[in-house]
Parts: sequence; C-alpha cells; structure tokens
Amino acid sequence: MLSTYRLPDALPGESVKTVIHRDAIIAIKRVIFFALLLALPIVVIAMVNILFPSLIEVVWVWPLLLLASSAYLLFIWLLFFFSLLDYFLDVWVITDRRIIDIRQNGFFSRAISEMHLSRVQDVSSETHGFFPTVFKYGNVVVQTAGEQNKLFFEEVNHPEHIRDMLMRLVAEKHETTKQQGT
Amino acid sequence: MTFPLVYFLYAYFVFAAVWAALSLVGLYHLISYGSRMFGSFFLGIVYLAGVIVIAYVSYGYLNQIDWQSEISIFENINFLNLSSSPSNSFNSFK
Repeated sequence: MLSTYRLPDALPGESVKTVIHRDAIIAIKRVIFFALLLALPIVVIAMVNILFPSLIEVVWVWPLLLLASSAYLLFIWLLFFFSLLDYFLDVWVITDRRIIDIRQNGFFSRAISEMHLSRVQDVSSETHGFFPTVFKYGNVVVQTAGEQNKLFFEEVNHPEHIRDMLMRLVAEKHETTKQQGT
Repeated sequence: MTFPLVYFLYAYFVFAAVWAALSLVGLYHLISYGSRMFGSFFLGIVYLAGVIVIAYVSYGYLNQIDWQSEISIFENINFLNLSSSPSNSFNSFK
C-alpha cells in the first residue's frame, strides 16, 4: 500500500483512500506474450537442426546462432522487465483531497499530475471489448474545470466502483467546502 | 579475408554492456519508486533470477566454442569463372 510518505507533496492531514493499478489481466497478457517471445529461439534452433542439419556443422553458424539467441533472450527479458515495471509503476492514487496520476513512460520518462477533487465536474466509466467485459476492467474519465481537462484511469478493475467512489468523494468535498463557507 | 570468430563475441560483449546499463536504469526505477510494493519487489527478484539463468545457460554453451577458429569470407568466389592457368583461360575463348 502506498503511504502518504511516498505521495508527491502530501498535504497535511491528507489520507489515502485507495491506490489503483491496471487490472491484473493486463499483466497476465503481457506475461503470456513475452513467454511466447522467449520461446522463439528454441523453436528456431530446433527448426534449423531439423531442416538444415548440415548448416549447423559450418564452423561459424552454430556460434552465431548461440550468440544471437543469447542476445535476443537478454533483450526480450529486459523488455519484459520494463513492461511489467511500467505496469507496477503506473499508479492512480485517490485521497480525500485529490487524484494523483503517476505514469512511467519508457526508460527515462516519469510524469506525475494531480487534480483536486474540488475541480472535478464529471466522472464517467467505460468498458469496451470482449476481454474487458468478461474480466470487468475498463477506463474511468474524470472531467475537470482546470487547465488539464481530463484525467484517465486506464484498464482499471471495476471502473464503475471507482466512478462511484470518486463521485462520493467529490460530493463530500463540496459539502465540506460549503460548510466551511457558511 | 579471414578473421577469428572471437570478433562476434566482442560484439556480443558490447551489446551486453549496453544491456547491463539499461538493466541498472530499470532497477534504479524499481528501487526508487516501487520498492514498497510487494509486486514490483517480486518482479525485481524474478528479473535477476532470469538474468542469472540466461547468463548461466549462455556461458555453458558459449564456453564450448573454439573462438580462435578463423572465418573466411569472399574467398573461393570466382566471378569470371577463370582458372589460374593462362592456357586454359585462352582455350575457353575458342
């Protein structure tokens, strides 16, 4: 669980309501995809061995195949690591005061944006496609009055629950603001 | 032209050095931003374990290769189909 210590510029008295990642099925899809890619050198070497057995006996073919396979596996394993790292480091934090969107984009790019609940005008959720419908994940779109008009929660689990939570928090925030004003 | 097979190994080492640098970048991000989450911590462990497995298996196979073997390229290629004997080449034009 992300604590307020880790929040960027945590406000005094701010409490974290929930920390949201993409749905687990996204990570599973990536694991399956990269598992297939990792199996590719084994398939290629087996096919070369079966279809062109005399080619392996050429002095430079087998060493080159080994080097290429090793480099390929290291490269794919690194891509797999960064793909899942991106999954874990893309985070949406909902507190009682704001929404924080933390995105990891590639190797050297990290973006953090935040939106105060008092500026939220509308929250909507959407689920499109076969897998999102079956596994109940989708997007949440938060419309605001600020310079950044929209904030997206992408491929999150049960987007309708997140929408309901946000609407409730926004209503409570407005109520609190009204009471402080009177 | 001939050159030893070990040149390909050097190119592989250059690639491995670049790969290692990018791995360190990824591990830095993991430690900086994800160490408090079990999932990302577990990902780091799995990644390092995978690296060790790939390196160990690669070393096992690459260690068996004779890297001092020479590779010949662009030899024994005779584009004009001419033999070394002048008389034979003359006869081919009759």
